[in-house]
Amino acid sequence: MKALIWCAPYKVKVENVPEPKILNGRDAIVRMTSTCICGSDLHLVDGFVPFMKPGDVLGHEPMGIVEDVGPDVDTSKVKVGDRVVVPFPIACGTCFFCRRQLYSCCENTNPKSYLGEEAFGFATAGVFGYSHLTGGYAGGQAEMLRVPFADVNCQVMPTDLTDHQVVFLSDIFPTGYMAVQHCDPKPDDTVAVWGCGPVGQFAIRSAKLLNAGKVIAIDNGKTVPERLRMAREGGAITIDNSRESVYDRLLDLTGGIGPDICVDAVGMEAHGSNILEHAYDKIKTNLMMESDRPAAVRQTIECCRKGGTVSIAGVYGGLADKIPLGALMNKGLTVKTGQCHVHRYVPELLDHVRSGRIDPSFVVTHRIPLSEAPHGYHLFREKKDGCIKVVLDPAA
Amino acid sequence: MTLLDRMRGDTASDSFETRDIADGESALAQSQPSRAQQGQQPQQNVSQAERTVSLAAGSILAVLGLSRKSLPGLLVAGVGGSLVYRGVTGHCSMYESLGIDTAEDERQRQGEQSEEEQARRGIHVENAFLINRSPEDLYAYWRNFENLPKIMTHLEEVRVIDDRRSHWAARLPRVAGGQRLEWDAEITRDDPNSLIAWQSVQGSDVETSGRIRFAPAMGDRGTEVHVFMEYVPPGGMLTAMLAPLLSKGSKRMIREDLRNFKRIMEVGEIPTIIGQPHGTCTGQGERYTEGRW
Amino acid sequence: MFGHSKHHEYEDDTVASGLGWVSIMLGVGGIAAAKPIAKLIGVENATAEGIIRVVGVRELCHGIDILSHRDPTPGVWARVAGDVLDGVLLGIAAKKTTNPAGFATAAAMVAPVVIADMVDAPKLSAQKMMA
Repeated sequence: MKALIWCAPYKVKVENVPEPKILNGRDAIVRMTSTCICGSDLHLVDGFVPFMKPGDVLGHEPMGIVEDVGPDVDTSKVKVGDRVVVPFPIACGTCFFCRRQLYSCCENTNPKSYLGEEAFGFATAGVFGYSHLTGGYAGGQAEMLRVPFADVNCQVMPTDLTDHQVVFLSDIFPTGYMAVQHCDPKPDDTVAVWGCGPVGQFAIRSAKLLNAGKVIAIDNGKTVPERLRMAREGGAITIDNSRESVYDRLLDLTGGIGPDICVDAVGMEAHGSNILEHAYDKIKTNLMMESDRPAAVRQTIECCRKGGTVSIAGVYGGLADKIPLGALMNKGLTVKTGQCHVHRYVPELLDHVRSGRIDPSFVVTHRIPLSEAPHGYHLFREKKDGCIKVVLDPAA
Repeated sequence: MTLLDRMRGDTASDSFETRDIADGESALAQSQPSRAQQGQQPQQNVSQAERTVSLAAGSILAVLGLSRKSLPGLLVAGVGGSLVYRGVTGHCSMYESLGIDTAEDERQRQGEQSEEEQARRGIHVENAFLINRSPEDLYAYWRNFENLPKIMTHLEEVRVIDDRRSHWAARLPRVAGGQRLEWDAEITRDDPNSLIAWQSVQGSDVETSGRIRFAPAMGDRGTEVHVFMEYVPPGGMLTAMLAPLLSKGSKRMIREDLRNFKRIMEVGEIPTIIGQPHGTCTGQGERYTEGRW
Repeated sequence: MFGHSKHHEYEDDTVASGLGWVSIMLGVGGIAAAKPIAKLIGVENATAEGIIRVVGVRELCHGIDILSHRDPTPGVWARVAGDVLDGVLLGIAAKKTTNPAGFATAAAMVAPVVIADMVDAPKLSAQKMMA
């Protein structure tokens, strides 16, 4: 079958690889109908995440039809022929963390927990197609996918919704939603979202769904005007950080107090707000003296109101420099963070979609065949052609 | 009271604790002859650290000298060889004739602590895990030693002989030789649902002792499992020098085995990626983007 | 045996033979002056002196090797291997030193030689491949 393979930093390739097989009793095999490229895939391909091996299959936003189930799968939860979306973290459902709905911290799905323990002190759950740090599982940018613990991880979808309406329940919709929801937004809160990529777009619309008072979106109007436009369509007031000072404008919009909830939907490859900051981080990361570029986190901490909440949705991997810990502490900020616990949110998000309150397909700008996936990565990374989200069609 | 405190024996009624490692009297140490009783050896006059450095430096020189295939090369290789020799044996004839002895301080320290030194020659690993099952379930699974090869990847087979004795077979990892080791072990202590302690029988290939404790965790968290194991690897002095490294590898191996135990008991299977699809590309894909910045 | 004329085929031979002579110096120093060196670095005990002597012997052999052969390349690479070993030893000594200033001085004196080794060895290999 065709699959998108990681070869080397900046090099991906579509190759013919063997089809997946049932390896454990609770596995299932799903034939993909739609699978997406995520911003965090770019971190992988750009070499920011260690423990990638040439030949690894990428992709963690898959959906499709179940073709085969292992002997121990609970068929009352999922059976052959079901249309399912597969969340990116793999959960077991019975460990300490899964029972507390912290699914992306599951203890039992990472076969290489010792790597995670060396990196972070404790290993996180297995993730599809996201390096050996998360277990080295083959990912979803392929024609078929093996899903462990299928009765927990295959989320069954109704047949009256299109692929583009539900495929984002695998990753970006719950991620944007959780970024706002776990900060407990109130009707008089202002939510500011840094980064208008797909996760940022969903954070904006989730804030609206959760009845926050005001939503502000921040990004670079010179390089990605289409993203700011999409943010405005979602109901946000936009700030173009290439033309104005974000801090000043935020004070202006919030009556001088600052936003109550600040969401960082940018992550570790941030472009600094000024050339010096960008150069500092860029040089340090290239010299491997710093592993992440945390410009967005710095700005959220600076701009958040006292006693407010900083929500870190963007992905970071290692050690970052010069975090304003003094500002964080003295302003009494709360930091909420985490890889999204997708399984927790799927039911309520599905309800939002079914009731028509939100149609997630708005974010798709390109649907291309799996065989042209490297071109898709190119468009997505260079933000060419107004590209905001790329969905791959494995059958074509 | 931490898990480790409990393991170290703050429960007064637990007589097994008198054989705890912290007192320097491990089960193994008691069965080893003390250093003084070992056979005559040439006086060691090179300190431990210097022996390691000698070994390393000598190896570099020996390889270099031999690769030259010339007379000066032979000289260099000869010097390298004698450095290696003194590293391995701890005896330097140059030092002897000059009256230098760099191992003196070490010997003094060792004389005072020969028993502890014996204990340290072995490898000790301790690991703890939280498992979401009752102590009864975990005890029952572990007590039937024939289950252990399912969770411990280095064990090939365990055969239960009777109520207290069992026969074990393990295969060393390929990097350490890959040979098969067999030994008999007997249970020295068996408190149902709480503690199992075992020890290899005298005269086995491998000397090992260990114990596993099951203690109920707080709330609904299940059971805290604590494993303590020690063993003397076969191989003698060289492996003793590498003991700190082996210890790290052993610690990880036992940790991963315990993790397998946790996973089998909590979810019934061990996650794996062996056999999954993957590509063959060796780094020669096309660059998908022009920019690097 | 030590004349330059024999080494004309290899360009970086001057650097290499320089390294050879430096090795001889370091070697003799390490063997004869182990105690003062140990004092300078700040690790004054018999074990440390013994180790410095061993390093001295090694350096001396490197010197003999580089200067007595036409092709200094394996010799310089062996020096690099030795530098790695020395680096580990210095790292351990750094934690135990009672004389940080002296230690820093010693490290600073050794650093240029180490850099010279690491620059020269690949250069020599590259030249060999092209020759």
